[in-house]
Amino acid sequence: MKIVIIFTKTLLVLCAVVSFAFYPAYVRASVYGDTYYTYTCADGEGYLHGLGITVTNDLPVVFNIRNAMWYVSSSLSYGQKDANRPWNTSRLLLPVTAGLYSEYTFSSYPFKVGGGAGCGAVYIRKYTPKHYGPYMDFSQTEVHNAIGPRIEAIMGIGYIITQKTSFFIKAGYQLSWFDAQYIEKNTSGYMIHCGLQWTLQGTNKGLFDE
Amino acid sequence: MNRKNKKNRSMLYHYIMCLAALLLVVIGCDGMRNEEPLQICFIRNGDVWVMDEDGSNLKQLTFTGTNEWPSWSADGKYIVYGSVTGGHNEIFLMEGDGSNNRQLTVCALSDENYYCPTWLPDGSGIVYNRFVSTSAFSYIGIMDTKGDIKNEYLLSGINSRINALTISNDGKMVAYNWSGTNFIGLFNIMTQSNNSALITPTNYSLTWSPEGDSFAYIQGPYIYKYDISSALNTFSYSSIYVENSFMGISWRPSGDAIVLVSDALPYIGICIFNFNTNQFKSITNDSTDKHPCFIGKPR
Repeated sequence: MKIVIIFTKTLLVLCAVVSFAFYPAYVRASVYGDTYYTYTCADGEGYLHGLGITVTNDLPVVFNIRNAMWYVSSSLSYGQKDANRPWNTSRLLLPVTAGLYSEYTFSSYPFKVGGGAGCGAVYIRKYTPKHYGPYMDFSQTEVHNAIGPRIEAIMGIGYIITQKTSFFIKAGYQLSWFDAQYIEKNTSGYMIHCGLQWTLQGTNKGLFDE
Repeated sequence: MNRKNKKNRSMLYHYIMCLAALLLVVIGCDGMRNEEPLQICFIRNGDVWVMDEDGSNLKQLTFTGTNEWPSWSADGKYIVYGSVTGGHNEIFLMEGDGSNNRQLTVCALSDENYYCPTWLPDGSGIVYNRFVSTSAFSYIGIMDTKGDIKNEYLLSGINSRINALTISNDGKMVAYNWSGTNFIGLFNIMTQSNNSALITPTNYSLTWSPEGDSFAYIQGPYIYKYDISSALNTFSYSSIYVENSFMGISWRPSGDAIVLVSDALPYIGICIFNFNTNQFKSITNDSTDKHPCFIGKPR
């Protein structure tokens, strides 16, 4: 039952992200979709592995900044600490962020580099031994949920495979905060994404294309 | 144009299907945490052992010395216990699997000993009794996990060692049984006030309840529960088989059961008494077993 609830919630969030991001796609701009594996260090909550998506749209040229895009990104990660120990805990992390990303495509090589920053919210769902005051019953599980703000900065490099597909690796740092019992207040740390970027509308752009 | 739009729609369709598939993979990882059977540490033939609460998965953790009073930290990671070494009762600490075993205390006086170590509820330190026999001074003390003594209080009106000791959930009060009279006393760490005859006459092992408002103790073949605020024995269970003594009792962290030692037939060894079902269940059959303590709930 819990899995169904999480699945439904996650699907709703992702549908909202995708539908929002695709609204202007039929108007004019290029649209990119990233699917990636993500490795996140969440400080006291440990290391998490997950999968994510990012939808990126061209931004109209503002302040003479070219190759600027806005993006909406979400991922779902899972991590376990102290596996095979009685006090083991596990958690799910679901960030949703939006931000700006700028990308530069090399003219002579099939590579592009970029960087950006965004902010949003992050949801955590943590499974711990059941607490009885200061004591714990390791034969039972209780669930803790929290939502907190999140900001992130990321930069990456991409290899253009075809006009519609490229492979990328991105690295960044995220700052997240929670205010809930049994969940670490600060879960900041680095993150690594690697995956495929699919050009859903338009093509991979050349240098200074508009 | 139509062909291009059709291609884009196809790409979008594949993209969304791929996302759905990836999502299902991740959701599949959403397992509960690995729940573990509750373990009990205890003494058998002078060594520290652990087992699951159904009596299975027996494992011996110590192999030397004469050991007593193992107490599991609330986070389950460590066991503190007493051991006779060099002619003195000292305090030792090890991890829950028996590794990294080290001695925390070294008696400086020829006539002093450490007794009944147990954990502060938050795991930040260890509560113990130190008794100096020549002067007949008995102390309640708190040390950190390196063995450095943080505070030590002289128990007024006590001229003997302590047989059993338990600390309240908030870490402010210590209930103890002292061997001079076998009375149960109550020491308030905050006010440093001591009532050495809280419960009389002869009593035995005691353990603070997980709810925090009371402690359970053994008096003859009965389990009593003493409520701190009302100063009343709120209930007793008479259909148990415990006749003696300082063999140790400990609450299950959930508060629905208590583990204790029976020395009367038909049960000999460690037993669990379930308050919900009012049932008494034997889990070992060894007359040397004593001082059981649940993981996650210090004595």
